[in-house]
Amino acid sequence: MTQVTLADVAAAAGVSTATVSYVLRAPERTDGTIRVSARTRETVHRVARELGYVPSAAGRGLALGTAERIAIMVPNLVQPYFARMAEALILALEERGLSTTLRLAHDAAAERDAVLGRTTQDVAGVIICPHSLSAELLAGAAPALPTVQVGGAPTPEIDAVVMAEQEGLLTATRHLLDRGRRRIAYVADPWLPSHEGPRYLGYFEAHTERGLEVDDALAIQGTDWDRHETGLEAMVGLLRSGAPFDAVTCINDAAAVGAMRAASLAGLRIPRDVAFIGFDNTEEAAFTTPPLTSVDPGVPEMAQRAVAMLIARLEGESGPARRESAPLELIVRASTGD
Amino acid sequence: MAPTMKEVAARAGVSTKTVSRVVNHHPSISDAVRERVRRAIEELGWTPNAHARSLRTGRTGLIGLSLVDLKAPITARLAQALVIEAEREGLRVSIKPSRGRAERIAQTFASRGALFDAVVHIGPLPRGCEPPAFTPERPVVGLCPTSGPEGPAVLDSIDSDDAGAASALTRHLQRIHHHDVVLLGREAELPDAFLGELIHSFPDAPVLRPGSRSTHAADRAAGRTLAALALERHPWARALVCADDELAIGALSLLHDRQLEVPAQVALTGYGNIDDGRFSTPSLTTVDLDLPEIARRAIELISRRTAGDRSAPQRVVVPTTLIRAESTLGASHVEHWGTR
Repeated sequence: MTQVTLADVAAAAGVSTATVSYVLRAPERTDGTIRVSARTRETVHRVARELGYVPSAAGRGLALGTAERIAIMVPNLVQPYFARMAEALILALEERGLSTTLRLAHDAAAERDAVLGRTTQDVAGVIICPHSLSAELLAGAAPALPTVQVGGAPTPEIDAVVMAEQEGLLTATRHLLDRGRRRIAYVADPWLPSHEGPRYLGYFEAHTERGLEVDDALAIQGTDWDRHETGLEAMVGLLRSGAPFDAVTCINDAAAVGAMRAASLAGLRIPRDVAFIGFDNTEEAAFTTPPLTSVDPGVPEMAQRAVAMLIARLEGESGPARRESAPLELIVRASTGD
Repeated sequence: MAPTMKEVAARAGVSTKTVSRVVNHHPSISDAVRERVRRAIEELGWTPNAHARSLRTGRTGLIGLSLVDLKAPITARLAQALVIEAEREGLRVSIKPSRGRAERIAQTFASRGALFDAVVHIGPLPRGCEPPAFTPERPVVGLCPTSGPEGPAVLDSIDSDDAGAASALTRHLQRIHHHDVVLLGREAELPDAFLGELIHSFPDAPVLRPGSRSTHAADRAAGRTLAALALERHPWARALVCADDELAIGALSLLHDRQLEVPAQVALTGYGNIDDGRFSTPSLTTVDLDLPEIARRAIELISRRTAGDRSAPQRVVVPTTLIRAESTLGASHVEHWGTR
């Protein structure tokens, strides 16, 4: 005999498993992050009775929250930005009575499979910090679950908290130009075509608004995008190219720290010979030698907005994909001069 | 009636374990078997469903991961390694940041059975937090270290070889003639096996520790404060030996501010081998803990326990590696940055 599952009840009642779970355990909670009408409540109870749904020990575990578990997906936890974002999301979801599991997206396929529900049947929703997610990757398929994207290029039909990346690089590059730097290198994401992506556009715009030209030789890359090694090798490449430079702005703090390391080994003085700016304002930035100027993307605010958007969808909000963003801030430290 | 994993296994002529491994992208499966299982799944229209699985087995397939927070790079890296290893076994990880609060840790421990098949706890237990009862069928595995090397094991634990690490570091400092050592440690109320071993190796060395705070005591800001204190109280110090890389990174930033040359005037060592230390100037002499191996052994132990191993609490000790770099050797001798 097959046991009647929460999913069976949900299917028969014509509601989501999250709703069934919520209704069946409703007496235990009062904070009400999910609103269910009296009629739906009545239907779920009736169907559960009719089907003879009996929560088992594990089932009780499910009814106590598994069905309202949210998958948080990040490329890695080694990058302090993702560790910090994952933690902010976990705590913000916990505050709203939702539990989480953490998933690592090792590649583009893993991001696609999570969004399309192939690897996320065990959760009620997904918050993804993507690196590769795009319309092409999804090839017309729609997300299987309420899904919110945090950072990265917005994907059609997916709610997103957008990081103001273009504005960030615009602000960072203006800051360097204000301090008299004129040969500003940019450590870019090698997975984006060069001269594309919001960060490059911000870097570009800061130059053109002052009638300055961008030198292509100064758009540099490493083998990847998210490691200390990335910046170190990009910087070695720049040094070997012989192109003169007096500042480097980087896609993230890790790359900036790696690039500063290369500059130090090459005997350059920071910031006198070369100024550096990172992105993310990680814990590391305040303690480098010298301390690193960085763009703070407002992680806690981004996390709060993402969770609010997800909960709205879990509560049944329909309508087109929403876009929100958090304000960012340039944190000025000694790596760009006094 | 929905097809079961058993039916998929029978049709593909393999065990259910193999089906589970294919579904969870386990690397040890041959392409031929993978293909056979995939075909069987497709023909039967089976959906691997964690929910259905948990109702069948009475398990949730979930590991609760109790940690202070993800701010410390060692913790974040260890959490990542644990997620990777758990996924290989078809298990999911739910991270439970405690911010060092005993009641939150206790809550995570108490969720075994209902929510979690097992709990992994990273780091020592804070004061006021009793170790949970030893329940091998719903194990709690402590990492780095919860029990300390001396006492009897009350929980399963995977620890780094702190005695070996301290001994290697001591020999390294002796060989390069660094005897005037000050030790910078974690807050006193937390057990710290590595610092304990260092105190044993350098019985005359002063020990400076941060004041009592609930979290983040051994962070970079504390490293700055302790280094300043060391210079003020012990101006003879020629080496700052730190119980954590973050302390050492903080100390390094202060030494730079004071325009002291590292290591010419003051040598510096850490513990943990975090990225920041490999890319600092000078790069940091430290101890690598082999975090992927610690994660592997933890998940392995959990798998054994949930499969029925009811033996006494186990303590697994994972070897460490001394990373000799510029902060003790000077720039001309460096060999270790960027080797990963």
